[in-house]
Amino acid sequence: MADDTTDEMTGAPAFDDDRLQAFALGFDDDPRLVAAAAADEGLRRRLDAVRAEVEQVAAQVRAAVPSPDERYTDLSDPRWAGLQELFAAPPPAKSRGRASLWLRVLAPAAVVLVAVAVGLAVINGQKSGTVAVNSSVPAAAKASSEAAGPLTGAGTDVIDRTGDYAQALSEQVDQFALVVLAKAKAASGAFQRFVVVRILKGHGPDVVRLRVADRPADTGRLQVLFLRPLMGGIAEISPEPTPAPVPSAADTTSTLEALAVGVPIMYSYQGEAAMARELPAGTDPAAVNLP
Amino acid sequence: MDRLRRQQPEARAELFRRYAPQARRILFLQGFCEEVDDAVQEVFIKVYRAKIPAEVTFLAWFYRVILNTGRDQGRRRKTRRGLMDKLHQIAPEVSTDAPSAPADPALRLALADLSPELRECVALRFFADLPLDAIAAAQDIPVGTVKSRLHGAMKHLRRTLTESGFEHDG
Repeated sequence: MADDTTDEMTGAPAFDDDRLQAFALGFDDDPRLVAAAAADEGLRRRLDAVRAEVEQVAAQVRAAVPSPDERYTDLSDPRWAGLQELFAAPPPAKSRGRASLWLRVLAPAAVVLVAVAVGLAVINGQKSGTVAVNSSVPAAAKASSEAAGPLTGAGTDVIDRTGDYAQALSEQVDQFALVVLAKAKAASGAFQRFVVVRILKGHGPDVVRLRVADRPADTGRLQVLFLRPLMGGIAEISPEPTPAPVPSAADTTSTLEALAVGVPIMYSYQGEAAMARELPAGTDPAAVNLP
Repeated sequence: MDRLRRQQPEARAELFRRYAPQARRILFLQGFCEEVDDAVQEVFIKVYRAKIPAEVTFLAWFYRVILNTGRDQGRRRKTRRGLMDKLHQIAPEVSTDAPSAPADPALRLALADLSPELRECVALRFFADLPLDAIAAAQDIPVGTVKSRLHGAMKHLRRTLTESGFEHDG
């Protein structure tokens, strides 16, 4: 069908199909086309036909996608289970959360860490003569010590080789209500489970779930877990020996050596500071005894 | 919008109720058919966890999240093939000699033949009823390109309808 209106210069149709479709799609107002269609019956019919096709295509496109079921926006539907956590109440303000975390976990953890580091330094000193605490405190413990403020005699003083392992261990254990031997399971997210092999002190569950504070312990290794700190004991902590428990018999030396070298791993347990210390591979749980 | 920024559950639920069906249609047409509900869920997880932009740009941003989610899923799962299969599955058993609105199988196949960019344009125009500038913002392209894409897609679909025997009034 020939166009009723043609371009004066080229003779080509001025209102070709592309122009009609652009108008039907609402791209342009195109007053010239409107005026021409009003005056030209043929052009008007063409324009109506293009509009009808565009509308039909739009309807077909909409029909090509099945409608959702009636329960589609019901957020209790199991298909939206992944969204549920995002519909919980918003978390508290960050500043308050951080302060709370510091008071509940990090501050006690720092104090415990310093105490343990000092104790381990003493053990080293007892093995090899006089030792400077400053050189044997693990880096993490130093950082915690600095963060927690100065401790009398713990920073640069030289500690003499005094006390015995049993006494040191006793003081360490006194700071916690629950001390267990446990095997570490693989960490899952922010948590790590430990299967309790023996309870050395207190009463506790067969499995404990600790929130990882720095890094998870190696899977499968036997650990001594110090749980439920007694706040009075920690508050009054002193730079006296506070090492880990003492395996009995012939393993004593090698076990303590390993403990002295390793860095304690910090956790939180039910909102309180907790600590794990890895025992050497092959340690017999039955041979580890409290004094 | 402020309530959404404050992560209020009611605001999040309201957004979901208002836009989830539309997101589903767009994702479906993008070619992500078999697990479209998972894709819808992924869209809203992204939106809820994101920093909500200013109100004036929110919708364009929101549709961009939908499109990007569909593209990511499509890249992972060869969705073009999935769309073809799905369109075949949902097409009614009718002869091409007697097409009947509103379920023309030829048009569905023509939709599947469109490039992803053109299909996205069609989805945003006909499902979301977005104006051209909003489509341009969502696809991050100039308005002229939107016109060009819509124009090309519509010509292809109209031609398909005509060839399949569609008859319009008048």
